[in-house]
Amino acid sequence: MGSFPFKSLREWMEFLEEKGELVRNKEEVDIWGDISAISRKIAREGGPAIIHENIQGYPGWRVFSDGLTTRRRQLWALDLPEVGTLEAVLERLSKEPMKPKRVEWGPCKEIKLFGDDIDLTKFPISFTGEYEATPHITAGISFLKDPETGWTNAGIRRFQLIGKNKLCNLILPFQHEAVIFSKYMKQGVSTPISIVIGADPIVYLSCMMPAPDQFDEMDYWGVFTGEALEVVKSETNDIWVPATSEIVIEGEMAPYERELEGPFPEFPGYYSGLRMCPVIHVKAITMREDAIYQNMYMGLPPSEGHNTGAFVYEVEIYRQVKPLIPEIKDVGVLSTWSLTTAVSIDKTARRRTPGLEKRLAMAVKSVKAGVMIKNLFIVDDDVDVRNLHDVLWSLSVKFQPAKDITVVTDVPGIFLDPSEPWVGHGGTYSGHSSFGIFNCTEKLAPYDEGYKRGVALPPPYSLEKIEKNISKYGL
Amino acid sequence: MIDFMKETKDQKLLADLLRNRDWLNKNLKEVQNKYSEKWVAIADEKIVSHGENPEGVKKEVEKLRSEQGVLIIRIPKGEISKPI
Repeated sequence: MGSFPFKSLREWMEFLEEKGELVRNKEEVDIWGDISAISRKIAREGGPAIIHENIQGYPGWRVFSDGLTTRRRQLWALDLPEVGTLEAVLERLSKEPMKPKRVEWGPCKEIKLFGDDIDLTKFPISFTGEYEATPHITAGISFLKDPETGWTNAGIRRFQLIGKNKLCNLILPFQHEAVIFSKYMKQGVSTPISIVIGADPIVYLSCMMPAPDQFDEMDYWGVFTGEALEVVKSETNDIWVPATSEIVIEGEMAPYERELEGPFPEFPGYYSGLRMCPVIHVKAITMREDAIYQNMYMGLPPSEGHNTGAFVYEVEIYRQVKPLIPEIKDVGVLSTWSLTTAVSIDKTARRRTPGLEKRLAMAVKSVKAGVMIKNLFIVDDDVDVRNLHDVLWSLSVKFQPAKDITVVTDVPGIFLDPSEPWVGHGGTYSGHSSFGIFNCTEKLAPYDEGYKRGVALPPPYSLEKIEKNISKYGL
Repeated sequence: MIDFMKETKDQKLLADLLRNRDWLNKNLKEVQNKYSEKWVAIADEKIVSHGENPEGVKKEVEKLRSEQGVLIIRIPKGEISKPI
């Protein structure tokens, strides 16, 4: 049985199967919509991970998805507790980063394809939305190396298939990938890139962490597990990738070549527009003999992409805000990456410091991890920030629209949010948003009479007893 | 075993789509001049249908789509943004 730390996608799948959280689908599915439609249903219903073993038109291929769709599986992936998750992550992250261990060979080298043997149309790259022009690799992890410092940046990205040996890569100016690509551009040379598809879940979660500049995301793997990640050198460049990867695509991005990218079903649930983006010329593909292609559905939330992003944002917002406002108690991303988020605040401290909730809101919006938040709900610390019923109850009975909403106008946003105007011209559009703070905390005097008897619940001993013996009641 | 040799119908349809997307990439300005803010269908590297909404365009090329990869896409107006 696979167990933590999972050292490959296959170990992770064994573990999930043992837990009854992996379905093997033998019914034929296609790349044109079936795979995504199934993932959408899984995400909406909190269903299991799935491996499709019969892909129409792609004999011998298997496609895995939804390993990280539910919070339970995310916690298993990092061996974290259900209660006190954020504190546990912080404790792990306080350790020294651990560099990956370089090894000579890994299973990702079982097959090596070069030159005319490279044909990405033979890989089951699936469509996510009906009006995607050509399909995108959605669970590809980009590895780029800084030409000046040697820093290796890893991030999960999308890559549009635009030719048998060509991909288009949306790089946005605020991303680390742009910093590195720009350095190669200034030198007038191509940027080497390696793309991993299919890896253990710790690799995926590590590369989604919003790491500081010059921090190698793969060092998080060692921080989370206490062991060093084994990496092998790519065939055509000096980029080292996880040795147990299923597929590694190696290529180069010419400095000034651009092609049409998009449309893609973006995280707000609408299609992106067309953009001119860098082109990756594929130089080599290495893979396992019976490689598993990994897919991560995006588009209209919820999805595996959204749910994984939510977890990472919660960790990062908490980690970045806690030193500024220690009274922050918990963070819950409620919808659409972090556009709508709830944070809870220490109720006792708030009573001692009127206005603390607004300070907290400003801090949340100010840190890097909170920059995309558009709607922020501040709730008391006896409210579960991830439970929509609880947050909406707080909104219903602790919030007065006339005095408890604050709107900050003209703040940076993300232009993928279709409700924002596009600011700028000449192709460098950026988002322009507003920030709404919904103070859903119990009010202080003279408005507090209704809160003085406390929240109406059955007695604590009954709640505890029922929780402990829940199965005895047939529930 | 993964079969890299044989080209299947799905792979052929995908290859058609790639070719049509490539044609659009090379001829974008001309296509924009004629079809900006319209939905178009591109087959065999030419516009075979256009209209105000995707459903209508899709219906018009329904038969063709069963035989080859037809790209259905909305053509934007004006300059295409270049983030980097």
